[in-house]
Amino acid sequence: MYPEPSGPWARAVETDASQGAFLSVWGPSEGDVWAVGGQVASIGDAGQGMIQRRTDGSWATAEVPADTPLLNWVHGAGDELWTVGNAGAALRYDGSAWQAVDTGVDVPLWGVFVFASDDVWAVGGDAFDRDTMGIVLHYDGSTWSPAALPTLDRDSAAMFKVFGVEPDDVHVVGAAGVLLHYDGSSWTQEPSGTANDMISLWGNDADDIVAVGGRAIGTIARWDGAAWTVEEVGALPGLNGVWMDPEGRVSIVGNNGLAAVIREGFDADPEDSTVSFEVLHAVFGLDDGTRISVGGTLNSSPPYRGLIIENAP
Amino acid sequence: MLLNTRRYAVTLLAAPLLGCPIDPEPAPEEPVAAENIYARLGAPIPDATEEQLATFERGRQVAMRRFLPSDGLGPNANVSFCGSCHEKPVLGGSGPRYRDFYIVGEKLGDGTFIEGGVNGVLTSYGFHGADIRPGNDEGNNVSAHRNAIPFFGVGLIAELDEDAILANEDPDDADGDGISGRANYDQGFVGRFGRKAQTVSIEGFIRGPLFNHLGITTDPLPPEMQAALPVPSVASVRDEQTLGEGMDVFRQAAAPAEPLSDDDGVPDPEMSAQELFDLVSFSMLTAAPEPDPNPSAAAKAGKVRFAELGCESCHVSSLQGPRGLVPLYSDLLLHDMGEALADGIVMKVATGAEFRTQPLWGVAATGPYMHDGRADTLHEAIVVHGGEAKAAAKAYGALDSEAQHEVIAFLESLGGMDQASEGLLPARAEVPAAGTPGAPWDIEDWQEPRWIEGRRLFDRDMPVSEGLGPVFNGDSCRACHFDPVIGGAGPIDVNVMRFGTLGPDGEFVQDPRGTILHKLTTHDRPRLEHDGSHNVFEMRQTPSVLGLGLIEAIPEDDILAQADPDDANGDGISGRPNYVLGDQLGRFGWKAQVPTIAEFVRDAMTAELGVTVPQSDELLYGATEDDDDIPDPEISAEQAETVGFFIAHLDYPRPKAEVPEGREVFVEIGCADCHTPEFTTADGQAVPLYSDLLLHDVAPEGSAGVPDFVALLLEFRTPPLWGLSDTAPYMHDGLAETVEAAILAHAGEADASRDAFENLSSDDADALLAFLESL
Repeated sequence: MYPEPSGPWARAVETDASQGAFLSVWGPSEGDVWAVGGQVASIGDAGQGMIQRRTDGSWATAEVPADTPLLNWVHGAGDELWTVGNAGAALRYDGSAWQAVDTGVDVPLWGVFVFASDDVWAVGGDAFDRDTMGIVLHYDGSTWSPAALPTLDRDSAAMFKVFGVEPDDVHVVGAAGVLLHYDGSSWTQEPSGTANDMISLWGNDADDIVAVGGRAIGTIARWDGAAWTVEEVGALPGLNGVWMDPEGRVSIVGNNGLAAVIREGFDADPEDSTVSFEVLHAVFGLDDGTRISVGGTLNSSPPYRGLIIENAP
Repeated sequence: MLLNTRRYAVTLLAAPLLGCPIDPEPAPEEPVAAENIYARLGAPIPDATEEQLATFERGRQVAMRRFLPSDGLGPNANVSFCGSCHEKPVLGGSGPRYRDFYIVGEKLGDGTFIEGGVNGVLTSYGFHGADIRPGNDEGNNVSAHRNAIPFFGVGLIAELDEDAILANEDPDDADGDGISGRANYDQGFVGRFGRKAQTVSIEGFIRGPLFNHLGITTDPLPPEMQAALPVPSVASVRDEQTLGEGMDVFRQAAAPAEPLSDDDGVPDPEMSAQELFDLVSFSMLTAAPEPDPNPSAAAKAGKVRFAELGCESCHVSSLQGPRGLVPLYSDLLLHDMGEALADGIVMKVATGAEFRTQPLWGVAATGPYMHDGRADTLHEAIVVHGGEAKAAAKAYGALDSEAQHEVIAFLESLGGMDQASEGLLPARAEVPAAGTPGAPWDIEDWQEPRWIEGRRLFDRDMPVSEGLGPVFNGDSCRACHFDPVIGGAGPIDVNVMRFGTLGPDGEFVQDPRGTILHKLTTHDRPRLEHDGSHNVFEMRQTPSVLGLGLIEAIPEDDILAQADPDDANGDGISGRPNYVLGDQLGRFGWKAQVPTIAEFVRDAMTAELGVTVPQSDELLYGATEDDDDIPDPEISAEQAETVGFFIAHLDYPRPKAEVPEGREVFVEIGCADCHTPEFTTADGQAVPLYSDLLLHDVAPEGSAGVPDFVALLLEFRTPPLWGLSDTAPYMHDGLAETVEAAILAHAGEADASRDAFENLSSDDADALLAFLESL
């Protein structure tokens, strides 16, 4: 039985402008967790990447290759660990160091999801240029190549996150409420009914995926295996991060330091995150019930400051 | 039901208190009215500190600052300053119809609403290489009108606790009264500003329009500045004390959180943090409209009727604020207003049929009414209420006229009535003293009442019910002619857009709708758009009408004596007269396309206001019929003549100084070859206009314009230079921001003079510019 989310959140790490903010957190085990992010000189700038690693409960800065831009997301499966970032950056961890892998694109990559060493998805796009379209890339073990996407019913400058339960059941969320689904052979667009940017998603089963986003209005979407149901929840600020525990309870984080738990449907019970002004951008849970959320002053002009908060059961 | 984050925070902190001894609950205090919140419209709240008053004044200046492209205006814009849309009856108020705008978007098959334009706003002007007239994307299938709303008392609204607003919520109409208000939200906070309550903070309500309507970028105010605002915009002191550090509660911090940027080449942010702070402070400090302290018997009776009709179900008389009851007559909640008013625009959680209850304080002075300005009068506004308000509107309609008058009298008692104006001139505005801008010229005392009436008609916002539209650029003559005084020129944001098609053979093809691509329509019609066939767009700035009477009095032969159409004297200058409407000499307009003031009035009435004019045997300009529902003509001959009388008797711009050395340079480098310094009327009156009133080819190679009668594509009338310093920006398109830039923009026949200017010594150039500024 996975522990009930409870207890206070506490600040574990605070970074200054020399390192920047955190954007993503993930780890293969409670003794090995990675948080990525970085700093930019201005919005749209490629910036400088940062990685911190939590081992034995304590965080330390990890080495990143020179010229690594700001890193937006991290994910892995088994020993296969990837992080992606601005300027088309993708880095693979070889067990001792991060190695840059050419993706063939130069737009920001916002999300990555790893099934296996020869089955990795990444998504991205220039979110600041409405005249461009978001992209989906696939890594087959040797090269990254763009996936063929359907003609969308709207402009969507970026795909923000990708998540899959099985290799033939993959979801992507993106700008302007775009929701895509991959069935193992092709991508299709699913109706959303919202133009709100959808930022991230997580799930346990093929028929229970939760996506969040909204920017100015908290927006929650649930996939039941066949269709998405989307609710705009005005009382919540924009949501950025989501993680579902093995019991199906959903932790969400967002702007204005929001952290909350959805136990059923779309009803969120806010928690005291100890964070007021900063943005919480991602959340992830460990096997021992500890939840970790990361973020920073992403609602202000750069340079950013960052933070990691933890919630022990 | 989802918990509100802030209420949850209260619950968390309240828990440890449960073990404390509980005092007997005190008797509830009687609500008291907020004090020191009223002043005349546009004035600061009475208890503003000296420091706040200084900020208020600085903010007022920012609100009136005219942004130019070099300041960051654009790349897309509707207006060039904040005050342009918030000027009725004074700065901080609402906007006449000529400042209406459109919100557009696309509704997709799955119900998604996608904002079009600039964050939903359809713009009228493009700078920095953007389309001169930004078009409405073909995919947009939703278009809605918006009329600007007043800022009076918004600081008091910002102070309201969210619970004061949420207390009136009844989203599922649990009480069965047919009224089901619900809150809108932004960043998790209760929305309170905007037609759909889509914005929670004044900072957001300013930063958004600055970007959407002016293209001016800003950064969010830093926390220390937000905390210093008149309405503290970070954690409230009370909440901090109650909840403790780390549990603070935002009240205003939900302004658009990210810095804004654009690609116009001007470094971002284009407005400094100090200017933004002052502007936000100015808005927050603007006092609430003061209700009539001695309401009439009719107003008192109307107040009772207002409640009996059910109007107070949404227009609740007051909300509890930290200073006491704030009598804004709004619940600030969203209500379904029915199909007839629905605009299809989705904003945050507000649907296409939902609108925020508009506060009614000061309503008498801030027409037109409703979100799209469709109602000319308060009576019309009440009658068009639908949806949840239909029952109240119906009950009002069933009242006899006296009872309806009482309701209107009550609404008029809610402040601002003594400042209400048919246009923007204050009631009983004084006649400017002789020699000052905008003063009468050449009238006897007995003619002054007619001049005043002409001024009133010139200033008056033409109601839709009297014929405004169906397409228009301005809703009054003053709408375009107000710089620096009524009758003057207009800023870049009232430029008229001319358009057409230039064929491969160089021939200009006029669109069936004419050469004016109007900026506005009445609320029931979408904006006129161009299509791919149009490749000529020419902005035309509003010329001043000051001194037109004198220009009209210049003998025709004296003007023609300056003409040299074939450049017979070989000086490279070949002024041509424009003959219009047969054989009349054109004198007015950028193409000298208008021969007389009487024709000017008729032409502008139709072309700019969409107002039809009476049939006339002598006067040919103006349309005598249009396709709106208002009987034609929509203005009488007497009214048109009275407006013409006012224009003909506006004093000409007087020189501010003598700068003989600059005048000498002006002549020496050839400026005076076209800008003829002076004519004389038949009765000997000097007309120092600095124009020959003839056409010259002065546009750069490769540019394309719109012909008019004999005026060719690139020919323009020499514009008079009198009053130059008060009519910036310059040239026909208003893209020359300074006098120097205007000189440098001259080409064609003016090449030699421009070259000569560029080779002047700095002393001579300074003298020339000083001379021009002195005119």
